[in-house]
Amino acid sequence: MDLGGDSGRLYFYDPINYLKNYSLYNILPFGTGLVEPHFYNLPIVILLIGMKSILQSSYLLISIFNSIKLVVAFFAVYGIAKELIDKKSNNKYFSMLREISSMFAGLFYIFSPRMIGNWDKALLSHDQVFLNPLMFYLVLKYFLTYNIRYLLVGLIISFIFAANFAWASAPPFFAFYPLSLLFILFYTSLIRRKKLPWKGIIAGLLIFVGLHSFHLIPAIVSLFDPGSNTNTRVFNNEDIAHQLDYFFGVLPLAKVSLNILSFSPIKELGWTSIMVPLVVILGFLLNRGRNKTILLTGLFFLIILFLLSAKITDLGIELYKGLFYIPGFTMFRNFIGQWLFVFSFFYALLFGLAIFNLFGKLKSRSLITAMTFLIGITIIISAWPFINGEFVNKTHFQSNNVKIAMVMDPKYEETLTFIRSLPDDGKILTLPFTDCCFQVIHGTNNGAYVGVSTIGYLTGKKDFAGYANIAPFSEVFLKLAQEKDYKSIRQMLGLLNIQYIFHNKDPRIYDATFPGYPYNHVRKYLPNDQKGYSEFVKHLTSNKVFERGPYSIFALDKDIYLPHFYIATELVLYTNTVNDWYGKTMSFFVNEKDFDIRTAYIEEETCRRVFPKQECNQKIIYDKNNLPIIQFEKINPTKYKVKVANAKGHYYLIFSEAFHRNWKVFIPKDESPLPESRHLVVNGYANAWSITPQDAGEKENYELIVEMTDQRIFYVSLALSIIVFSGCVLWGVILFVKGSRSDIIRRSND
Amino acid sequence: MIKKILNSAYGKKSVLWLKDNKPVVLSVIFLGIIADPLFITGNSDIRIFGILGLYITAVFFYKLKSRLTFLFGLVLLGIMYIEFLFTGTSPATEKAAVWLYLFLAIGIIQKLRE
Repeated sequence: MDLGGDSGRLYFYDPINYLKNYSLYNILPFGTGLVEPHFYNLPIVILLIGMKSILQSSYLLISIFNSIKLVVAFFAVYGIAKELIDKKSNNKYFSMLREISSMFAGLFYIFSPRMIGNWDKALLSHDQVFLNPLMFYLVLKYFLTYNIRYLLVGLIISFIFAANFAWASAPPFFAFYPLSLLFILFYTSLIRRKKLPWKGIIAGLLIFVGLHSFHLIPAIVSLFDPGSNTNTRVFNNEDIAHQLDYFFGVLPLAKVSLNILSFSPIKELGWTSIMVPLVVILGFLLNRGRNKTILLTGLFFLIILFLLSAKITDLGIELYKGLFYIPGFTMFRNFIGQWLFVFSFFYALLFGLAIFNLFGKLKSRSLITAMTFLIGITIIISAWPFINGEFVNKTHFQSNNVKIAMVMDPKYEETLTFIRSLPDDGKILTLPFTDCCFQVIHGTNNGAYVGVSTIGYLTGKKDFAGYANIAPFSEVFLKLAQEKDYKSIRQMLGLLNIQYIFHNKDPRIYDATFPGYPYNHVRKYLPNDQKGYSEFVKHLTSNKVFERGPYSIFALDKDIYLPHFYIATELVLYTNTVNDWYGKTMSFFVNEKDFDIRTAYIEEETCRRVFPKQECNQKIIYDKNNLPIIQFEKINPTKYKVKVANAKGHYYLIFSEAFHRNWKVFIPKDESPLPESRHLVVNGYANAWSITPQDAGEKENYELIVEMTDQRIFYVSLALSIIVFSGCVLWGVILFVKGSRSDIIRRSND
Repeated sequence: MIKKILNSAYGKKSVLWLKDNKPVVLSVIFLGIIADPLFITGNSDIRIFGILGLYITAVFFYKLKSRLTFLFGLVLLGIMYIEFLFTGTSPATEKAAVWLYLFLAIGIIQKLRE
């Protein structure tokens, strides 16, 4: 099975745990637990759970999913082309030509060189391969027939594959749907002279919003949440300049000629690349009647070719540059990748329409048969490396011939089960450490998984698998590792709430097998081989709690470990001297390592915002010995219950989870949370709340609820989506029953 | 102003000459187009839009059909293809592709107006 890369496809491997740990909550299940709504894959993961329970095999699941993508894409393009091809000439001969041309459109769409190259590690967004033509077909049929069933089917499909209609899929969505809808509008009203079903369109849009509210509403809230990733990306004015830099970085790769020619991945067949554009131009040349469909398709093809190539004269580049000042257009900075699918779709339709024009003018049937054979064979042979599986059985980047398709090691599955059984508290450090956030697991074959860490996604225990994950301690960790300062490393792990070390000592995932990616940078600081890593772990702890094959889990000593929630013994002020997220903690950690283990570090800027000015002039702001005792319980990743005992004075509650202003503390019987002015960032990343006896009504023993309030928005919007979805299903059933009944009446009348 | 020039004796003579020598004029324009990817190095929008302007004027002046534009497109496709086979995605191939793009655009608009 190919479980993907950067973003992983672990939903194919273990959809139930993926759902429990990732899809249901807006907290990322790795690293410090950043807040990011990603609910959009909920319906598809539920569908995959159903399919997996029947098939029992991830390999079969992936294969069936890929087959569905190919088959539906083919039939949808075939159906669209058949609908678009002129029906006036309705004799048997032309009907046959229409069938052949439509089939060629479908065949060219799924086997065109642009469409076959990205099926390995395909993410959910790749479903646009079949969703684009399918949705186009359903909308087109609805506009032409006014049959509400097409609309309903389209809406339900959009709900199941919500990931392709979510904020995260905005570039492919906005690349395809606005232009396609415009095409359908022009085609229906100008060519077919049909009235547009405006009522149905408006109702459809409203139902669409209702169905998708479970991911759209949280995404919109995140959009308007100052400081969120989405907010920074959309509203940052400085960003346009950066996006333009990106655009000019991609520009040299854009080639108008390569897009027009259909260049086969088989070098020996390079000469056949002229076939498709030749047929298209001949189709235009032989379009002697008043068939405007091919002209409209041609116009859209040219518009998209411009958007895909950008290099239509220098004036065209300037015009393209200007488009980036349209709000939101910056999402197309990687224009080649974003417009590719839309281009292939319109090219396929144009090809089908042109073939029909060409064949329609040919008098000789034997010539048509010969050409059909020739074109068909060329398309299929050109795509042979895709058909025989070579294109999806690739070798890992910079690896020593390790394949991407792997068979999961049962011993690793046992390790995951053990991790799930560990107590809720305590995060994991995953070794060997990687550059970003990846984990490498070798299969029982010559294949390996190189992707996002499986521990976080599949066990719910947050782990730190790479440099980006461990921010803002990334630079500190590498420096300490290089200096072999194990005592400070242990202290740093404590600050990050890391209680366990997972070491995969399989030499096939490090040493000489993966000499480069994904370890390029960190290898300079950390051990160079697995033997060195074993030594490294020995210096940190010797308490091995689990071992199966090459997989070992070690527990760190309790004396340096800081739980997920703790009460700070002192608050130490520091000045941030490193203006870099990955090295931010350098400002206090390395130099201040002699403070008490439960010290919380607070940045001077935060101090001045929260405390009176004179307090921020001293190094230690708060120092107490008479502190309360706490116990806590995880209800789910977004909600914790904290029991406080013996609270006699003011104290600071530290929560070692990435700071977010919507982490709130509720004191029961009080509906409103503690005010935001008492919520501060400590240790460079974590949440802290200043709690006074007055907050708890002068009680000494009480309970706190710590909750990510954004999650509540999801629950409400999910309820709305479920109501609308149930309504749609019910409506569908009624339509189906009515349809069947009228069919029966019609048949009995006949 | 343009009307004045066209109505002058010199203008009338020129128009007559252009009408009589349609194949020559079109050949010159088309040779200019072919020469751009094949023999001229470097990109110039002035050159491209200049020649394209001449062709569009010729379309109106001689009432050319879209068929001729698509035929020109076919020749440009041939040039692009040959350049591609021998030089890959070289600047010459790209220039031919841009010319093909522009001719397809003109051809489609012409056909929609016919």
